[in-house]
This record gives sequence, structure tokens and C-alpha cells, in this order.
Amino acid sequence: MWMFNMAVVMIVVVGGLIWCLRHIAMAKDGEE
Amino acid sequence: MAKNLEGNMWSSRWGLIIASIGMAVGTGNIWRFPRVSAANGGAAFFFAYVLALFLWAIPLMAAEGVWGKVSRMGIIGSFKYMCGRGWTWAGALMAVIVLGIVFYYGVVVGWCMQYLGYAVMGIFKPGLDTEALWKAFAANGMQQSLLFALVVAICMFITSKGVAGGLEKACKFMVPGIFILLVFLAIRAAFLPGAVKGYEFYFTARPADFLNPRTYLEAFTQVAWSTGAGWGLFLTYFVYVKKSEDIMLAATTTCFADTTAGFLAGLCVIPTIFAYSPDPMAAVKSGNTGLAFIHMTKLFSEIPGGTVMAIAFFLALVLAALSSEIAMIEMGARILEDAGWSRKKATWGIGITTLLLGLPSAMNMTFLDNQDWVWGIGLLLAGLLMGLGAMKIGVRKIWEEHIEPYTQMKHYWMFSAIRFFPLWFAFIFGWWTWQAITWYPGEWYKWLPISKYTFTVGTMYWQWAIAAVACILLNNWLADRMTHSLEV
Repeated sequence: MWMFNMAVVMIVVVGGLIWCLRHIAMAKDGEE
Repeated sequence: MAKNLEGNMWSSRWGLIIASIGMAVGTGNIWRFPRVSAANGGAAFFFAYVLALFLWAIPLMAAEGVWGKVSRMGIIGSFKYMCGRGWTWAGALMAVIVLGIVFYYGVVVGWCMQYLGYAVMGIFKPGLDTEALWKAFAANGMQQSLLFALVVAICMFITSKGVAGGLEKACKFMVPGIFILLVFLAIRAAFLPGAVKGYEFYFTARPADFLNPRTYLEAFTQVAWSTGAGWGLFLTYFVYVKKSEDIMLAATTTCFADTTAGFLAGLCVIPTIFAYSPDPMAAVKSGNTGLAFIHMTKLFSEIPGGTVMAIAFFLALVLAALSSEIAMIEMGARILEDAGWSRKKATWGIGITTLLLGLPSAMNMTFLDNQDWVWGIGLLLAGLLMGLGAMKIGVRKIWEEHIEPYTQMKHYWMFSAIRFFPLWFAFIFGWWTWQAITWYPGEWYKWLPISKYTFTVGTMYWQWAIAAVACILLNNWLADRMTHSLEV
């Protein structure tokens, strides 16, 4: 069970970070 | 309004993101997150923590981003610009609270540097009395003062180079370094015999923990201290962004990177403790310095190849601590620049002030503990001021005018949660106050001598009250001086 929980935590936390970084990479750098 | 022509900007969005992650990831991720999360439910704690990111940290950091980006001034000037002249004191009180932390946090960075030195020299060998080593070091005020001076000098050097040439360059080296070291430590810990016991304890979901209010109170407190939300540091970094910068995405990225760092540290610390410590729970409940400098050091001295682990662990601590300390020094420097000081003068001004006001903490551990208590809890108050400022302007108005037009994350609920901030504050602050009262039955209101009443409610309230009264009295004087916003 702990392996499943660890996987869920990893998907949410690290997955959340990767999702954010991917969106930053896709977006154009801010312009005035 | 006069313009400060000496300011500069982040070279790119990545520069801002990496510096913000460096600001958020500090020693608390490495030595506090693993032990607090393990002691308060493990899997349940992670659930509560992610909840707290969305209810506490992300909306608060988004408001900070707006303050910095719109006003182009630091904490004090931005409060005057956004909320009106009469609110300048609120920004000043936030600044006092964060500066209260800057003054002693540099000493903590020095401890980490000393232990990195010990690890490099290879003194962590079987049989080492790590408790005696820590006590001897903690009693040596002169050694701590010299290390503290070195830390302040490094921070001044980096800050004096500006945001792109100093902070961004330093963080581009430090932040990836922290994550690489934590991944290495997590992988190494996984191969220790008995590491599975640590994982089992850490990730077993117990229904009672999900229903325990303490799980949520500890998670919200950790989020408040770890992410930097409500500290004014994210605000200061957003002074230097382009107008179209995506505040919600930057805040969310910073929060999840901060959580990932804590998660990786947990994957290193908890399995290592359960693999080698005769009493894992004693280590988990031993406090920040007890865990890092006594228990982990003891384990490193016994694990085969432990010296390499010790070097990686303390190097990660040094990089995490330094990248946060430079953010706090930058926060102070920005305030002085808003008052018309050049960057060079502002860096010297905040550096010398930090050195002078941090020395008592370097010379006396009890004083440091007291300041950690007073201004650490004070961060909750700083967050409340930020939340009230946002409500004063109008949460919907801020969202529609300054956040929504520039963000990919057009989810109003993520920002509107700031409306509930006073409620979260009441719960968490009330809980800490109640705890402190139980520590000193019948004497909780006393505050002098600090050596005896180090963690009382009295010492906290009195020091806050002195700071608040001073800020309110100086409101107009400060407002008159906050006139030099950044030229963009």
C-alpha cells in the first residue's frame, strides 16, 4: 500500500512541477 | 514619482522562476519538512500540504506578485502605492518581521557551512560523539560570528551585482545543484539496508491522520514558513519582471518546486533514519538542529561511504540556505533603493545592518531561538497583512486588472481563496498561541528575561507590539521617503 501512496504523492508533487515547467517552456517570454 | 534608473530586470522568465525557487527552497525543506511530515501523518500530511498550497501560499504569492509588478517598489513602497499612504506602516511591519529573520538566518547558514567543512575534512567517523561536537560548536560564539560575517559578505557581493547579474546568475548554479544533490541522496538512501521500513512509515496512509486537525495545522504552518508566501520576497522579485509576466504560473511553479524539494529531502532523511537509527522516532522528534547536526551526522559517520553523503547533504543545506538569505538581503536593499539609495549603497546599508543586528544571535543561541520564535510566528501576521491589503483593494478587481489578462491559469478560485485568509490565520495563530501557553503554565505572558521566557506568548506579543507601534508612528516619515520606483 505504501508503494501506491508514494506513487500518488510523486505524481501529484513532481507531476505538478513538471506541468508548470512545461507551461512555462511553451509560453512566450513576457513582453511589454 | 522619481524613478530609480539603476534598477535592472530578470534576463528571462526562467531567471525569475529559478530565483523564486531558490528563494523558497531553504533549510526548512531539508531539515524541517521530512521530520514534520513524518511525525504528522506522512501520506496524510502530503494531502494537507497540497491543500494548504492552494488555500494559503498560491493566492498570497499571487497578491505579492501584483504588488511588486504594479508598484515597481519593495514591501513598504508597494503598500503605500497599492493601498494608500495610510497603509505604509503595514508594509513596514512586514519588512521588520522579515528583517528579524534575516538577522539570525545568516547565523544558521554559517552552521551549515561549518558542518560542510567538517564533512569535507572527513571528521565524521564511527564513534564520533556528534552531540558533544554540536554543543562545543554552539557554545563558540566567536566562530559562529566569523562564519556569519562570511555569509553576509557573500550575500552582499551577490546582491550588489543586481538581479540579473547577481541573484539570477547565482541561483542558476545553486538551484539545480540543490535538486541534483537531493536526488543523489534519495537514491543513495534507497539502497541502504532497512530503508523500506522508512518508506512504510512515511507513506502508510492512516485514516486517523486524515481526520486529525493537527495534521492540517502543521501542514499549513510548514507551507507558511517554507514557500515564502507572505514574506514579501516574491513581491520583491516581481518588481523586476516584465508587465506581461504570468503571476499565477510563477507562484504555482515556485510552490510545487518547493514541495518537490521537501519530498526529495524526505526520501533521503526518513529511510536513512529508519535504516540506521536505533530510535527513529527520537530522531524525527529531535528538532531541526537535532536532526541535522546530531542524528543525521551520527548516521553519516556510521554508514559505509557516509562522508560522501554528508558532503552532499550539507552542501545542499548551504546552497538552499544561501539562495534564501540573498532573497532576504535583496528585499532589504530594494526598500533602501525605493528611498533613493544607489544599489551599492543599499547593499552596504542592509549588509552592515544585518551584521550588527545579527551578532547577538551569533553570540547567544538562546537569543537566536527567541528571535526564531518571535519572527517565525510573525510571518503568519505578515501574511495576514498581505491578505487584508488584497481585500482592501478588492480581490475580484486585482484578479481582473492585474492577473487574469496575463495568465494561462485563468482559475479565479485559485486567487479568490485569499478571502478566507483571516480564517486560516485565526486557526493557525490561535493554535500556536494555545500551545505556547501550555509550555509556560501561569507564566505565559512574561517575556523578560528572554533566557528564561524564550518561547512565551508574552515575548512574541511584546516584540510585535513594539515593532507595530514604531511602524505606525513612522508611517508618514516612511511614506515621504518611498518615492523611487524602479524604471522599466
